Parts: sequence; C-alpha cells; structure tokens
Amino acid sequence: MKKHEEMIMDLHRRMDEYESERRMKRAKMTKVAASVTPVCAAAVVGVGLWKGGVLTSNHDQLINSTVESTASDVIVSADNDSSADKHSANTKNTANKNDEPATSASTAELQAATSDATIPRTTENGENVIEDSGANNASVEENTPVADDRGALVSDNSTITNTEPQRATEATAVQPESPVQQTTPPVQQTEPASQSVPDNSGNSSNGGSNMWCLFRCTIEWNGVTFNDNTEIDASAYTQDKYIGKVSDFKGEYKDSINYLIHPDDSVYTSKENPYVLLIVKTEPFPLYGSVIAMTNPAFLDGVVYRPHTEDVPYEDIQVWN
Amino acid sequence: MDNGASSYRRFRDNGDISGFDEIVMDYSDGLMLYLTSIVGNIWTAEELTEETFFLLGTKKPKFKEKCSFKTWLYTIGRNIALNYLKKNAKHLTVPIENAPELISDEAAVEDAYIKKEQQIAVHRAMRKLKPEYQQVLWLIYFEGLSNKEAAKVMKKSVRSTESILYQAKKSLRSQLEMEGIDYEKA
Repeated sequence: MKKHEEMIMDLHRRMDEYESERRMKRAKMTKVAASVTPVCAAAVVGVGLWKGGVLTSNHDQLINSTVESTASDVIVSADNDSSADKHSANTKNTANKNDEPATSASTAELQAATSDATIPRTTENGENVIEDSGANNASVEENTPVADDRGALVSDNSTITNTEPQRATEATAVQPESPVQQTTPPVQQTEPASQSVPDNSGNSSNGGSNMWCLFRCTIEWNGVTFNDNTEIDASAYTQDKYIGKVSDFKGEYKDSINYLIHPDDSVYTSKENPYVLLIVKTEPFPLYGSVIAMTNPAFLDGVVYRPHTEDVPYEDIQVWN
Repeated sequence: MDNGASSYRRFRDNGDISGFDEIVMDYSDGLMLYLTSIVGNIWTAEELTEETFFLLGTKKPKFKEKCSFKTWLYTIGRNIALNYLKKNAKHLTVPIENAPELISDEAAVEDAYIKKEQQIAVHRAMRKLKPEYQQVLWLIYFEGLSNKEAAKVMKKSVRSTESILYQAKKSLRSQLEMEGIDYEKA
C-alpha cells in the first residue's frame, strides 16, 4: 500500500507526463495542420472557381469552339465529297454522251446560271440539284483539295484569288453584255481540274480558251517581274514611254481569253510610279478594259489585301449543302 | 461548501498544486475503502482511487456545487470502479498467496481511517455482506452522508436506497450476532 505522499508523488509524475504528451500531440497536430491547410485552401479555391463557373465557362468555350470547328470540318468534307461527285458526274455526262468537250457543256450550264442565281440542275441520275453558281463554287474552291492540281493558277493563290472576284465585277461593269464574263471569276475559283483547268500549254479542250479561268499574267522588265493588278485604277496613271510589245518581254501571257494581256498589246511605263507598267490593249473590244496595270512587288500604293476567307461566306456553305 | 470544494477550486482555477494535494490527503482513504466495497479488494481500490485523482488533476472536471464535494468525488470514483469492473470482469481474482497481505493492508487503512476499534469490527463484519449493502452502510454510517446523497452516489432513488439500507442493517445485525459482537454497542 502506498502512503499519501507516495500517491501524491505518483499523481504529479503521471500528470506531468500527461501534460508533456499532450503538448507533443498539439505540436504534431500544428505541423500537420500547417502542411495540410494550404492544400485544403487550394482545393477549396479550386472547387470555388469550378462551382463559380470560371473554369466551366472556359471549358464550354473550348467545347463550343471544338464543336464549331468539327462541324465546319464536316461541312467542308461534305462539300468536298459532293463537289467531287458532282464534278465527276458532269464530266461523265459531257464526255460520254455527246463527245463534246467538258468545258463547253459547263460553259453552257454557266451561261444558263447567269440568268438565275439558283437553278435546278439535272445530274446523270435525273435528280435536281440546287446550285448557287457563284458563291457556292467559291466556297468549294476554298475547301477543295483538288484545287492544288491546277498548277500555275492555284499555286499563286495568295495573289490571284484575292483579286479575282473584283476583277469579275469590273469586267461586268465594263461589258455587261457578256454573260459569260459575269460568272467567270467565281467559276474560276470553284471548278475542279477535271472540268475547268486548262494546262499551261494552252492545249485545252476548246483550243486553249477557257472562260472559267483567268490566269495570272506577268512580264519581266529590267529583271523585275510585273504582275497584273486590277486592284488599282489604271486610268489614274499616265502613259510615259513605249517600251515595246508584250511579246518582247518574258512572262506569262497568251492570246487567249483567259489572259488579261496578249502578246500584241503595247507596254508603257507610267509617269507617276516607276513600279507600274501600263498595258494598252490592241483588241477592239477588250473584256477587261483598254488599259491593264501591271505592278511589281515593290508597289504598295494603296493596295489592300483582304483576307481570303472573306470571299467565303458561311451561308454559301450552308446553301451548298 | 466544504474544504474539499475550495481546495479543488484553488487547484482548478488558479493552478494551486497544494489544493490538489490537500484533496488527496483528505479523501484518498475514505474513497479507497468505499471503492473496496465495490471492487472487493483494497489494492484495486487503491489503483482506482489514484485513477480518480488523476482524472481530477488532468481533465479538471467542473464541480457545479449541486452536492457536497465528497458526494461528487465518490460518484466519480464509483463510475471509474464500475468501468473497471466492466472491463475486467473475467480477471477479478486475487492470487491466494496475496490474501494475507491484502487483509493486512486493508486493516492498516481501516486503522488509519476509522480509528475506533468497535467501528473497525463492524466494518470487518460489513465486508462479508453483499457489495450493495456494504456501499450503502459505508456511505451512510462511516462517511456520514444523508440518504439523499448516498442515493445520488449510488445512482438510485432515495426510496430504493432506504430499502437497501434497511436490508443491509438487517444483514449486518445477523452477521454481528454470528460473530458474537454486541451490535447495540457498535
């Protein structure tokens, strides 16, 4: 049996041990809490942001953009498929039934298309297909990989394609009596190689002339290449010196309706700008104006290159489908 | 309010260790003998007594003064003893070789706490009664608690406590008669 003093001593010792143990536990808990609290705080903030919609909205935007891009891809692929099928069908029709050149048949269709924007077109299966002759074709041209097969025309897509719709407008303004010219620029953009693209040698099915296409024209003078440029107003420049006929210069031109300048045209320098050459047409009724301006790449006078996508309105793609 | 309550307040509120020591000095023997009536042997009662004071010293439960400090302290001790009995119900055996020593230790505590020879004889006769009778007799006749306080410590109603007390006195009388002790004098 313990005496009172012994019991008191034992109680004090046990109480001290208990207190020290409690302090150690508290210190340990403090350390754990200090390490866990930032993690918990970060988790709470994360959950708060997520619940608050900050993260969700971005996610939705991402999803929306993905869906949109996917949808547009689907549309484009559908366009490609349908256009390819359609063009192949047209080729079969024209080549097999009548033994006529494919382009002539297409030209006939195109002339009919000028009278009405949307016409039913009969395929080889007898089905009527609603087409929008201009813009739809343009949209197809934008998205159709077949366009890469067109050689020189499409290889210079960055310069030519931007200017061609306006060129068509100008041509229409100058000579409204020519229905073919009204539809030429869009068709030039849209028609696949099987139907509209002549080779550069001029051995097209109708003797090198293809009203659906306008090829880039260039001439070289003093080691500098001048490209046709319908963005600028040729009448704003004054003819200076006659430096020869077009045929005297190297470059891309041909006596064809698909070229703006012909070998017999005259070449003048301009008084206002050394980077501009003026081509004076010799033919009695020039389609694209009596004077064609040619500029070299150093010419930046007021030329605004629009984004190529502006030529492809989204509605056109929908109509095409 | 008794001295135990003021000593405990000094310890609890002011951290005065001497207050705690005073409580241990004043109440350890009586609590030990009371717990002996519950657990059956003085050694376990001593451990439980120490455990009761350890709880007072560490947890520092609040004494609300709804009863006397002794009643409150004995109630805590009784709860601890009952928990002990619950946990160690199968191991409540005392080695037989320790029995004489156990008796002498209990006698020493009796001598120190009770002091009167006749009361010690009654207590030894009382130790042969049922634990419930021992508790009520100890609380009322040795610790001087009222029936109400004894009922509170034992967590019984006053009526039940009085009934138990009546039965306990009857049993104690017959026990004293058997041992040849004149219970009238005791």
